[in-house]
Amino acid sequence: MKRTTAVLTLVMLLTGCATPYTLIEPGRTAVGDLYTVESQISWSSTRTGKIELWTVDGNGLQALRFVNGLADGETLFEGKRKDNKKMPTFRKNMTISEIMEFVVDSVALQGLERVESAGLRPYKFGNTQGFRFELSYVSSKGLEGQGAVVGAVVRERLYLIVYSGTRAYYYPKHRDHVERIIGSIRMQ
Amino acid sequence: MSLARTGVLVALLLSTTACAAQRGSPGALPDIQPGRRPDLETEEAGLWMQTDRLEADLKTSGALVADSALNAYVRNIVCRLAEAYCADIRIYILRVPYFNASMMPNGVMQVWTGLILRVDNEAQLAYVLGHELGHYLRRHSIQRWRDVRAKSAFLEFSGLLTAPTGFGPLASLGAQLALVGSIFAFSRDNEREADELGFGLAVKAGYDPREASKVWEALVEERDATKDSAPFIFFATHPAPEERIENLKAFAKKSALDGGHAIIGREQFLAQTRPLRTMLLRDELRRREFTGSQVVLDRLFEAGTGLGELYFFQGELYRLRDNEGDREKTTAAYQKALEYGDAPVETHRALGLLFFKTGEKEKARLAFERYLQQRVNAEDREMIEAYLRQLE
Repeated sequence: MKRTTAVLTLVMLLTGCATPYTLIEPGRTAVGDLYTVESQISWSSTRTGKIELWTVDGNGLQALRFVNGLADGETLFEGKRKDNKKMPTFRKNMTISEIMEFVVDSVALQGLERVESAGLRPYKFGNTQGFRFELSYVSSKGLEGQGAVVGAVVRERLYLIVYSGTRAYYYPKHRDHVERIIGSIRMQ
Repeated sequence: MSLARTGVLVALLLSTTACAAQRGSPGALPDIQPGRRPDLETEEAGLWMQTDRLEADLKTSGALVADSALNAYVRNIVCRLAEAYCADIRIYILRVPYFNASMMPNGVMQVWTGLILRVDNEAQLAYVLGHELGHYLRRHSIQRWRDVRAKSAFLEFSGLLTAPTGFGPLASLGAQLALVGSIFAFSRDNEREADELGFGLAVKAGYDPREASKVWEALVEERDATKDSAPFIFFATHPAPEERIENLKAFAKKSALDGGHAIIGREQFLAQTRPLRTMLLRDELRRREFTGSQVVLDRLFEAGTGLGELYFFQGELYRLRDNEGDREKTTAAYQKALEYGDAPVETHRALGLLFFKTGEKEKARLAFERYLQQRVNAEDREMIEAYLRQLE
């Protein structure tokens, strides 16, 4: 058993995974405690704090992140401890335009370059009025990326679905699946 | 430093004589010669190889500023400072909102956009670049390499040097480059030498010697305001800025006695950098280092160019900082911005959002409508129209 644990730990270290992945089967799945979605394909899923991440080909290539209920004063990503005070903070009274800025600035501080947003507009999040915008960025190694962000503030908490991937192949590869997932949101 | 003395220094610098080895700190090497690469079997060649790898990463970096006019401008300054080495130096301008410039031993010069935002004119930029050229010409990196190795810290040094290629996808380029900067933490003697040499190069190129110390004074002001030296990568590798200011002032005093061409180059500098300033200010505020950013903004206000844009970003700083009383200050700054012709159209949207939040419906409606009128193809038109519907 000890040996198995050691091997698993080694595999996780080698693959850069801090937490293990679980399989999301096709069908309806609960995301956090607010809503469920329906997927037509399988995804590998992992969770860090309030962010649940799904991917097919690896999170460096494409990732579907569900941000589950950020409360007033919380940050999107955990910065290095020393830098926490510098991370953008969600405020419950933010306008949707400010929420977009909060997301974009948070993403930019994660080491991505030329992070830009476009097309902010109202968008249905399940039966709730939410918003949507598109993202573009370049990795520190120069790889172009693309993203779409759909979200809503429900009971003063911020819920986001962020789909991102390399512009050339991995973002478009599962974009249609992701659009169906977003369209399938059903509040619990 | 007098022009005559500078001339001698530069002549020495550019000469091929081996007597350069007798100058400077213990372990000083002959200056690098134009067009030269170290012999393959030397340790210096190993150091170059490592930095060649870093350069390969830089070439594809997402942080590279592609603006060809700005790149050509900085290159022209470098070539003016060290003409014989012009072909040996590759310049990479990186979109990193911190003050830094550095040179690798293989001729790679990095200039961060945070530096461009923090200098007032071409002369100040030239003095910083001249300082970095001083390190390069005097081969301080190889000296540092030897010193560290002699102190049995070779593995640490080597590990640092190779570390950037192994960074994870989320590590920022800024962090990587800061690490590289820390590798080349030169000795005080090296720093003094680079200051003196860089100063000489800039004076010989005709730049006003009084501008050299101003760069450091501004940085010290920012550092003291923030009470946090962490963002000042340049300080991390360049000790004792106060001493440096005094030295540079003393050099300038001597130079001034001999007169000079006194190029400040404010107009040229603005012509090349002003179009990028909106982006640089946006990046600056993303740092969420509001005290330091306020010092930067204050200096830009003092210089007095593009006040509409500056008041807009002043408002942005207050809004993002969100301290007690900042909401009123934000409104006042946006409104002040609109008194100037160069206020960004986004100022109307920003005011609209502010009034939207405070429930001042009529003011919000007017501001949003002005935004949509002036930005006919606004990419967020649907959202603004949705706000307007909510105001009805």
